[in-house]
Amino acid sequence: MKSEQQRKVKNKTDEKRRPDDEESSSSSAMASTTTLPTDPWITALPNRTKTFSTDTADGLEALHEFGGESSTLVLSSARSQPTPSVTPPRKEVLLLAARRDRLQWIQEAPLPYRKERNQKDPWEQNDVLFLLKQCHAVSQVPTAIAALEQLYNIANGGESVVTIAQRIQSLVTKEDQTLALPSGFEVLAQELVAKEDDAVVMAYHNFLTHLQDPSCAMLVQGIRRFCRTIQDTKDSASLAKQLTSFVDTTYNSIQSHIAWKGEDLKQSQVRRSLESCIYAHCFAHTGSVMWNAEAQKADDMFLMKLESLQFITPQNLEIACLEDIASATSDLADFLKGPVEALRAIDLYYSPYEKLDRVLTMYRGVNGALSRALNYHKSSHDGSTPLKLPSADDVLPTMILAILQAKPKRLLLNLTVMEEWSPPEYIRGEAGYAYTNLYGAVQFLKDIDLEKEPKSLQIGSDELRMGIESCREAVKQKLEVNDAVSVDPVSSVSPPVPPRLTPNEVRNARQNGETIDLEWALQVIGQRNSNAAVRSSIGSKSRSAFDEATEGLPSNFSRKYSFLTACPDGIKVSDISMLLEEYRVLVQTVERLIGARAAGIKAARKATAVAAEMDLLARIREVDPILLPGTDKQRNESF
Amino acid sequence: MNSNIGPSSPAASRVHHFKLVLLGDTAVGKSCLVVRFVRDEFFEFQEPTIGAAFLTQTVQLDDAMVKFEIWDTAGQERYRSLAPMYYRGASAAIVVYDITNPDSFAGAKSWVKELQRRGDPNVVIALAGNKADLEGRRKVEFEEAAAYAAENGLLHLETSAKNSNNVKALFVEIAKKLPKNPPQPEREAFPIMPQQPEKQGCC
Repeated sequence: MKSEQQRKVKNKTDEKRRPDDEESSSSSAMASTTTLPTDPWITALPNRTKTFSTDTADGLEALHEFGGESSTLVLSSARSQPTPSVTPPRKEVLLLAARRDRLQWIQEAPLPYRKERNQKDPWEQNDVLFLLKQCHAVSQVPTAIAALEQLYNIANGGESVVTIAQRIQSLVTKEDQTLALPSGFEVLAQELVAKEDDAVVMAYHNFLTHLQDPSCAMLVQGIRRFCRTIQDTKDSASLAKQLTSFVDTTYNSIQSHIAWKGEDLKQSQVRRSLESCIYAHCFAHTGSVMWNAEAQKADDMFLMKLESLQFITPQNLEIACLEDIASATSDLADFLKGPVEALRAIDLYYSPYEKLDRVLTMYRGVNGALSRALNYHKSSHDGSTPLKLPSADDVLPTMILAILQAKPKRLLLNLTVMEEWSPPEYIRGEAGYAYTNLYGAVQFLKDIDLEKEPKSLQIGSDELRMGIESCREAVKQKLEVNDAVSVDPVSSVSPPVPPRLTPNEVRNARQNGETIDLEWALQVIGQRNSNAAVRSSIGSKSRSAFDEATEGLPSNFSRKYSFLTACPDGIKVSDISMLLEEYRVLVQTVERLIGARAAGIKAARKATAVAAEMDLLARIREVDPILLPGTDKQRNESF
Repeated sequence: MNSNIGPSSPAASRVHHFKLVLLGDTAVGKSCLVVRFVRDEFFEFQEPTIGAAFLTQTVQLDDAMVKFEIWDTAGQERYRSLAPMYYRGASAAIVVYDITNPDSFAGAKSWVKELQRRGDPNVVIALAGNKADLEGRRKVEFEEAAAYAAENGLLHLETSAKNSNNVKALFVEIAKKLPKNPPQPEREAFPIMPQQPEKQGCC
């Protein structure tokens, strides 16, 4: 009986339903009935009485979700006729399923930003596991088991999740339980703990909590549908238009929404969180559209330019108050630490608001640093004279320096994204000014012509040429070191040379009447090795420090120094030959010692250089792996 | 964290907002002029200043309240090509020169020319001869600058950031000249307030 009713309704609705709605067909069927039992929430929420059109798939879908939470529904459809209602138990099941589905989607919402690698997390230590963790399917599921369910396609008749779970359970020890993927809300909770005062995370958590309210069912459904349908848009202009328009419309509806009634939306930064939610969910698609080959090429070229311009100092840009600091590059790096971090964080955040907020933080950081430099010799609290404020003459060039220090990935793309996705009011005021400065600084760097002496830099042509060459050399060395490191250590070791038996050994054995065969050879070699080991262990114990110190010196060297205390009058003619011999030995010894010392110094320098390069590489890998060869694929995949 | 991104608070809706850009050669005193203007006037809701490159200040007129968003520009020649990004969408511009430096006056003229050619057609331009306290070292005559200003339809005042002379007057004159019903913004115009919520669902 029940199934027949459903079939009837399904036949009516299938005509209009999109293919991806198949999974919700039973719920839709339920929702398209005209009389549903009264929901207790409805009496408290008069504005939740909605009218839906079943003439469109959207209407059906909205109805499905709304019907999952409430039931005082009036259907307006030319085709809708009274149909038998779904039985109460069936309805209850469907209601629960819809609600569970919606809550799960909310709870798996991504953070407003991408997190940098946590080396303590086993998932993030391994490249493959990290990629797996980042991928959309896995990030949307609560546990490793659910991830496997996705990977093994269990829903379509693959291996059962229980079997896989049991098999894995036998392999995984208790110590490895941390491998279980945390859910979106768990990650968010961890972030809340870690970043206690972070307004972004607080507001986002608050927003997601609101979304879980039953009255937000339609809102959530709208956002989910948008995140799905936006994937059909393949050009950046339409993408920007749809995204901004949807955020505006949704925010407008939130302003009058019952779930936020009586709340100061600006205070609770609802729009900001809404943007984060939408842009984070759409990131995989927007990234694939915006981060195209052209954008990647432009970014590569810009990063190469930044690498070539690393020699630029505050003097070259005429930043008077920083010229002292410039004498020590490390001081400059420390001085610009805040702005540099903010610049690098732009790319981690998804929404244009958050990206602009990083730009504003960077601008304020530059101002703060300049204020410290300008008022360095002044007591800041004496109040006798006002503190000097940094002007645009200093701010713009210092931003250029910060970009050179930060070498931020995808900065050009992020500038475009901020401009195209921000509503006009974002690109105004102080944030607009900060954005314009950043844009101007990037433009300035792009315009520098490396082939000829740029008028835009306070620098001579020789200095420029040397600077560029040294920077390029530094990059080349980094890449070479990286190549050397990436070689499999096993392959760099020469294969072991098979032990050879000398003709003397063979002849002596023959003379002793031994049989010369493979067995004999192995026995001799084994004996020789064991003797060598004994010799070596004995030698290492018995050798004195003197023996070690004189190793490699001429064999006839002695420390007798026969003529050290002799007076010229005491030397006989017959002594001359011995004197000359000792002199020759001493010359040879001194030359060998100097040679060995030079080799030692050279080796030490090389070791220091290699260690410094390794350290640099490790830091590059941490902050900017794009510069390392062989990371193209990873970079493409990570965006 | 107060980000200052997005529209102002609803209480500020009665205030007319204008973007004002400062142009002029380096060391003519652009920043000093604006810092003097902002610091001399105390308003209850004065925002803390961390730099002189971007400042806001409100001017009370008889019939309206005008809030300036003041954008400073780098005066060094090497950054000249970036100036259009800053004056794009500006309602007003103050072109500053130093009365003791004739080169800076020549520079000011070229800024005016550029603004007239590439800036907003309705931009209100004021020519400010700064460092007027250094009368003994004057190299640019008031009459010469005034004649140039009259010829080009500019406001003209000689100011002193040092003794505050004419600083407020300069901004008040600009505020008076600005239209109080600015056209509704397109991209570069003016902050828009959030639209009234519509009584409709989001989907």
